[in-house]
Amino acid sequence: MASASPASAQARFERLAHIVAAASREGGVEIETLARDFSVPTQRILDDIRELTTRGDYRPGGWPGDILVFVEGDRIRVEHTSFMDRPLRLTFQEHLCLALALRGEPVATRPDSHARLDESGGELLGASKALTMAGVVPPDRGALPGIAVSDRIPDHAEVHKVVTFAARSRRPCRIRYLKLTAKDESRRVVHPYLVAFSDETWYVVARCMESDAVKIFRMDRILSAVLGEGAFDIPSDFDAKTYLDGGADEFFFASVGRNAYVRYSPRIVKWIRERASYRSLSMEDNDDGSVTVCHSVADPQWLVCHVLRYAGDAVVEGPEEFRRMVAEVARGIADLAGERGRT
Amino acid sequence: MEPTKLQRWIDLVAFLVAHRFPVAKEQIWRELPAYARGLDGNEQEQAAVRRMFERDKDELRSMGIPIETVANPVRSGSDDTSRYRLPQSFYLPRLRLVDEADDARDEDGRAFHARRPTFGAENVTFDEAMRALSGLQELTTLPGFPLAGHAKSAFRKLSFDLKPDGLGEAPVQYAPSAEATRTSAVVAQLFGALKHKKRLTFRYRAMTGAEEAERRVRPCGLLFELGRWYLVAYDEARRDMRVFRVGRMTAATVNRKSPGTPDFELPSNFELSDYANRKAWEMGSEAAEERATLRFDFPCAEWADRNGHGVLLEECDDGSQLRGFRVRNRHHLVRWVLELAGQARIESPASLHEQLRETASTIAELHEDGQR
Repeated sequence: MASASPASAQARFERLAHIVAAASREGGVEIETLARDFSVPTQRILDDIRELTTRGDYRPGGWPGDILVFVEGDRIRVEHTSFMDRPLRLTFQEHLCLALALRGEPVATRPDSHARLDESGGELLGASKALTMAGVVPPDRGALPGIAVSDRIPDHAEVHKVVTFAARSRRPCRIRYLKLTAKDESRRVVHPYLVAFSDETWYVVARCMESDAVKIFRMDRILSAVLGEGAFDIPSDFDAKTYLDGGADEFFFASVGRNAYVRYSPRIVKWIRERASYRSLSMEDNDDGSVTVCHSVADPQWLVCHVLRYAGDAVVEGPEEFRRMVAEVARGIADLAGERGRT
Repeated sequence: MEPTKLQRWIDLVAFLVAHRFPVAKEQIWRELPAYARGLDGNEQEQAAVRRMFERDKDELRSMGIPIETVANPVRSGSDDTSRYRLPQSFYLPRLRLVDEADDARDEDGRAFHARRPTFGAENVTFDEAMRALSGLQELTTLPGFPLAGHAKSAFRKLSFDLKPDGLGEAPVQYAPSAEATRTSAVVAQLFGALKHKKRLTFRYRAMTGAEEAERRVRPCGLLFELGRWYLVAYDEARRDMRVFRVGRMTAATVNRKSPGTPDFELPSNFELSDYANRKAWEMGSEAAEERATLRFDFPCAEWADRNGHGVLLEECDDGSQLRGFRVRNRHHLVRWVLELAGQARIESPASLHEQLRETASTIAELHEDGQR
């Protein structure tokens, strides 16, 4: 019912069920709060209320569902006999969402990634015992259709948990961080503002106290995280949308970065084209069937790893400095492998 | 003034809520103004009332309002004598937020009545409430999630009783994914097919094949992974399970014949989890599976361990680790090791190690002076 258009009878019924329940509580509820909860204008809430109260125009008096609605300034208060003064129980789809929501945590704690989703079904009940006992979560999850959210929170769930808790409760965090291609870890104190999933990876957007700047950390590269003392405030000019709206483009392909030109071989062009269709990449076709893409690169280490992962099907055309970096790292890997081969 | 559909629904629900015992449909028609008006009319108008009532009842049920049909014990077996009621469980059970620390404990310090309902309410711990509500918050930001609206309404309902301090704005968000957003309408369609177990046809552009082709499948599960949606389905032509990336589908059509009847049953051994969290090098023929050993230097070894990459075989004094991998696609493992930029290397088998060395040499040559 929650997906219907806001003007449909279905959506209005759902809203009214919530409005009546919320307004039945002592002191009622703010109209603005209701409008925000449903992402509709306040006028829509008032129209819904009007629909409820105009029932009095056609009904005989003494109706069991009689209710009195008071619109007092910016609040709505409802008095009635015993009708919809509580939320309605969860629908099938809402059950499914709750089951998916509750899987998150136990899934993340499984040591064997293959068993995670499977076994979480069993843990679902353990993790939400009270909700199950109250009948909020159906004990028979087999009745729910097969839908799964595998967000690939890896087995360093503790790090994810600590950092997320720090972001939620706005507490500093001490982390050990291993950068891409770095040989050694670094230790930092960070103020996590946002935990975000983008382009196949979890990130933490945080102020790094060592550099006194907002930085983006890959969650999987945080080796450990410990809650620190005290609390922090998120600066008023921090806008999560800045980091989320552009997806991964905002994370590593920042507009402040340098342009790098990468040629992708005809063998993988299909994938590159598909990828480019979902983002604003500048791409040129070459005569041999390959394509050249211009990336705006904020982190050269990202470019090196990106090119290496295509195992020779991606080649940096320029600038020369980036070509040298890739050559150096690739030669290092080959030499290391050669040494091992000789031993 | 003619009551609107919404008003009819409210009236019907209010009427049933007010009656503890099942009510005959004739009584409902007589007492609800919207239906009562038609009863005084001609046969056609009376038939319209019956249809309207049936429709209202079905629509309310489809929204999750559990209107029950109870057969009349005296004259059971006839539709005309059916009675209707709303069960007590119509409302969300009462939930009470408790702090684990507040739970009473016995002499051994064990919580002994943490779960005892308080005045008809079920106690829910802070941790449980946080998991449920923050999990629902996260789902609402999942790109292209077909049930985002339902996740929101579940959140609203649960937070009526449970509102742990510190819940606030969700700090965890999924960045909008162009692919997931663009395919959200198809995902909603697939969800419908999945829910009702209906056959599905679509055009599919496989990356390995040359051309787009039509597929006829029995949908078994929807999986959101790595920011995109996948359909796990039984392909009737190939007589095997397949995983389809929804972004590569076009012209998806759900079988409309016999809408109330499932077209198939799920295979008894089907587990959606078998298709989740698979690494690229783990996909392929079982017959091609082999074992590989990789060495990770410290602190990258800690990173591999923490992220569950491979299985620990040996931990060395210098902090490095040997980790075992099951490999069905060598090329993908080599790609992954290359991406680690020297933080890991292949120890065995020797041929795989050689493949890594050769590929790395090729990349180096392609980027060294004079090579373009």
